[in-house]
Amino acid sequence: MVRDAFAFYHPIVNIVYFTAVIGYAMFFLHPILLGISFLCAAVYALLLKGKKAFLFGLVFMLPLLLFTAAMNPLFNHQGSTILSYLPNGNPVTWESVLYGVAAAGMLVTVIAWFVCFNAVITSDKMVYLFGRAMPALSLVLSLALRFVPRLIAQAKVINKTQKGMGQKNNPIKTLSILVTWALENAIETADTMKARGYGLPGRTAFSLFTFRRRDGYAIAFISFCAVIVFIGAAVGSLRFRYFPTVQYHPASAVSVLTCIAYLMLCAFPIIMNMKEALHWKYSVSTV
Amino acid sequence: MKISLLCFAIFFIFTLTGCGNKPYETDEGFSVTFSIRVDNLVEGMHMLDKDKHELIPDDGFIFPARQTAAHEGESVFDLLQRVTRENRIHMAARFTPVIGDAYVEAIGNLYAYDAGPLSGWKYIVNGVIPHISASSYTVQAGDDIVWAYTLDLGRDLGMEDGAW
Repeated sequence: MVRDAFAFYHPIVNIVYFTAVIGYAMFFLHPILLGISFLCAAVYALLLKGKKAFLFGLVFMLPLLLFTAAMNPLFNHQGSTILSYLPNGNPVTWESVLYGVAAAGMLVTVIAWFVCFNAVITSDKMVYLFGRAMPALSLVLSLALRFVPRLIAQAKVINKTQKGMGQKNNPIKTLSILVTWALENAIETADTMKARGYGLPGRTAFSLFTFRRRDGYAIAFISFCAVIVFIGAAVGSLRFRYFPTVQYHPASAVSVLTCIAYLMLCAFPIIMNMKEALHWKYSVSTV
Repeated sequence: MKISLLCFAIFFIFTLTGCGNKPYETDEGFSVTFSIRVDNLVEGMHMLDKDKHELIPDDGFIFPARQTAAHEGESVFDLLQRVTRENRIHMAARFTPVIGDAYVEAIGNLYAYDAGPLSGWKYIVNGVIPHISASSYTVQAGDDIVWAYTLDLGRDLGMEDGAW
């Protein structure tokens, strides 16, 4: 992972940010808000994961986007503008095409946000955040989030060992060894956690985070933007209706302000990264 | 993988080709009276989804009563599908391919349940609600066919009940 300025903020800042951003991404179908959220998620994922994110987007997200967008008009026949007819006589409408694109965009945006989420909120942060309030759940979550990558890594190790021992590549055997290892490992983990007093009061977390002044500022900024967006949406300045005819609230001062607040909210980590990069560049040039 | 692809393809073909527009072999046209009414909704507008208010014409007719050509063996559903398509009126139906059945979900973007849990489309032939699927009711020469939006399972249409 690339050094990310936002990941160095206190975990509470991270979780507040992702809750707000993913929560809004799941509810807004307004094209402008979708565009803002999608752009920020994509840029941030690229910043965090580089080439890997780009490939993921190209191989997985783009087909998903196209597929979902194309499926909607085949099954959703609402809308007043009839473009053509399906073989069974149901209409294909312009509104359903638009809605399909918007819904597909929303799906891809939320997935992209979760890519960022997984890169920033590591399992130690998860346990730190929720270890006191709900020890069992946070442990299960952090184990579950780590489960697949860990199994894949261990499968590679087993394969290499088998090869080193002169054995042929046998997937069934690998799986058998993998399952044995996973079971044993689970018991050992549980024992270790218990031995170290997981969930007992007064216990510290693996990583120590201190809440600094800048974390307070960051939370204040994120909450401020989130509240403005919430009010703007609640007032209805960003109403966008797809069916039966496309209709939206005309642009007003409130809606523009809401869009700007949403942009500031979504782009917060990107701005922080840019600030950091500039800071470094500036410091180097003055030496 | 292959089997799932095949299943998907079959499902896809079935959904898309549920009930095609078959050409009529014996094209002995006759005429029927045909109309699409929403006059219940003109009065019951408060029941209707707010987004759909603009869809209700003031006179309550999406398609005013008119002499319309029908074909031998055409069902009430076929007639509706043909007329709405010729007149660029929105109409969406759900098909059950195995038994060749069609259920009219929406006409003119007014969907069933848009005005309460008992609302939807009904058809009336010569003042009687037949209560059988529109796709299995064959039209006869001189029939007076009305598609009407009901707010109360057809009880508010003031028609004779033909089923029970």
